[in-house]
Amino acid sequence: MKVGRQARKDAKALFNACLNNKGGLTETRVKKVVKTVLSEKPRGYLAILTHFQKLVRLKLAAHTATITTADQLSEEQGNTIKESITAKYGSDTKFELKVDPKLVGGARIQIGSDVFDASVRARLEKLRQAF
Amino acid sequence: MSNLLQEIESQISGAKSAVTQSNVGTVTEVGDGVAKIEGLSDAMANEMLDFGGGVVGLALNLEEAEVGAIILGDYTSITEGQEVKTTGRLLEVPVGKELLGRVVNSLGQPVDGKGEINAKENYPVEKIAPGVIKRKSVSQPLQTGIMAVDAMIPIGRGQRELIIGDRSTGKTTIGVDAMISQAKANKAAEEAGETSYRPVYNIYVAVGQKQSNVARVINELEKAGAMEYTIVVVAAASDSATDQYLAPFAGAAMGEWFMDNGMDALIIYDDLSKHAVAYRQVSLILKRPSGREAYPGDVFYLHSRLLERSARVGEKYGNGSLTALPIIETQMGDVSAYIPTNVISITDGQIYLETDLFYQGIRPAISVGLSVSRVGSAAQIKGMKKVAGRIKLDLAQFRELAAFAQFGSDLDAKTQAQLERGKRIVEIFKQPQYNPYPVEEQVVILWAVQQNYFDKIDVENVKDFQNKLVEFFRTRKSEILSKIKADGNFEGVADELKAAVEEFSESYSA
Repeated sequence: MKVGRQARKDAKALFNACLNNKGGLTETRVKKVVKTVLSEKPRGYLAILTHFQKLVRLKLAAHTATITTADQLSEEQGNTIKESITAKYGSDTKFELKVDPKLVGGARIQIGSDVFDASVRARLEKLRQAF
Repeated sequence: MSNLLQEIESQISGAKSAVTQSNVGTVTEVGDGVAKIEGLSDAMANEMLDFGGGVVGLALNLEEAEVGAIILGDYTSITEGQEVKTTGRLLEVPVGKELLGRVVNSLGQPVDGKGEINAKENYPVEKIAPGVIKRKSVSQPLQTGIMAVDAMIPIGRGQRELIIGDRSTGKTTIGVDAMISQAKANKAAEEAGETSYRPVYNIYVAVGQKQSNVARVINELEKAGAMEYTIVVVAAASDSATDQYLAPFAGAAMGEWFMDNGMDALIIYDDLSKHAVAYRQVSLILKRPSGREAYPGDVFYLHSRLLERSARVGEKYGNGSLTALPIIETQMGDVSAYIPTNVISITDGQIYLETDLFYQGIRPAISVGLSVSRVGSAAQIKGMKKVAGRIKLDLAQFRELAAFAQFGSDLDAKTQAQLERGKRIVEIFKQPQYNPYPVEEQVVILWAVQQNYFDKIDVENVKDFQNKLVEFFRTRKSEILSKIKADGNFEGVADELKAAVEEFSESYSA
């Protein structure tokens, strides 16, 4: 759907109101915003909410580390990875573990738009490109 | 031996910890050569993006949560949700002498089927033009071989001279003539073993042209033996707007290499109106705000930054130059439209071609009154300056009088003489296409005009007289020509020149 400039501006203002003083999202405020906007139905409310949703999604993604491995990680391995990520990205990082055999081996970690790829698939791809 | 082992070992350990860090985003929207990408938080303006599978893009719009990118090459393989990586590099094209004689696309890839180009260097497509410290004012001539241009609207190396006119008035022909003239001069200097002559290399950038037209130009260049000094960059009408937008910049990068390495190059942008249209398309799809005639606000900057890259640099910096001949097509002779006024104000003068003149048989159809060269006269050779000084004035006066004389019948002798002189000058400046004259022959012809040798010839025989005069000099008085060429002046051979023209004039019969 088309999101106009005013809707984007409004959504951004609402989104900023949901941030706490550390710059993180306050879940209760987000829920309240959605509820209020839906009940009040201001001009262009659907566009505002669409953009608001996008901002929240990106914010959550930026604080969520998706760890994809070829095989199930052991508790210990998982903890080591998580520790080094929190050291770099802060303690409010959430974790999501995924298993994807297509990686062949190794792991791939994505936080927001940063990707650390140590999978065998990535190395094979690199090798393929070299030829 | 141990060194080798260490090296291998270090490489193995490097391979072991091969964690690649990258910044990625996902395609949310794609179409018409433009993609919207979510994520890519580290993308830089004008950075190259990797879409995978050999497709690259260029990040043009950096927004809060999105990046707008143009896709180079085939965008049909790109789908929504696809992952895109940043590369940390700017878009580059191959440059160097290896490209001479080749036809390439906007990315510098060959499209002429003559095999790979093994260029040793790459240049970024977008580059900041040389600054004031590096520059020098124009002082060397660039002979286009078109007498009307070299005599009245002289072009110097490093100048930017706009060629402007309606459709099919011979704009491209002037550019092609200039390229052929450079090739002929280069060849002549090579054969004579002249080391002091600085060869000029050509770059022809075709933007939004019909493939058939491009093929015709290449064919003409080949026929004239000019292709070996020429690079042709093609983004034809059927190529995507993004390719058309990039082609002039790619060509400028190739020209800059010659300039940076102390050589001279001539670049022809054919044409910038289509380039502006391609850029408008890209900008509108990227949802940039549109301004006058729906062109984006930075369409002036688009052309100014491109044409600023043509320059003459000082001796300390290699003494190279890049001369630009941008072409603009007007609609119904309207030079006050948006893009023509922009480019007129950026360039150092313009050659204005008129439809009326073209159909009167005056070809090249250069309008003397509206054409100017703001810096080129400093670069004219001495001999040419002496003989061509008054010609532009004579011709302008003739045009005025000719309009006036249509009403009256009784004209005084002086006016009559001016009219007669003007008619002959118009005849002399008619020149068939792809047939450039060397500058020394131009000097001889214009000297003969100045010394009234043409006045007693009937107007319809002027062209014949001129051709035979040139033929006479080429075959029997070539030492005078080579002397004029070497000195850049005719003072040293003034008596011989006079005797020779007199001799020919007496023996001439139509």
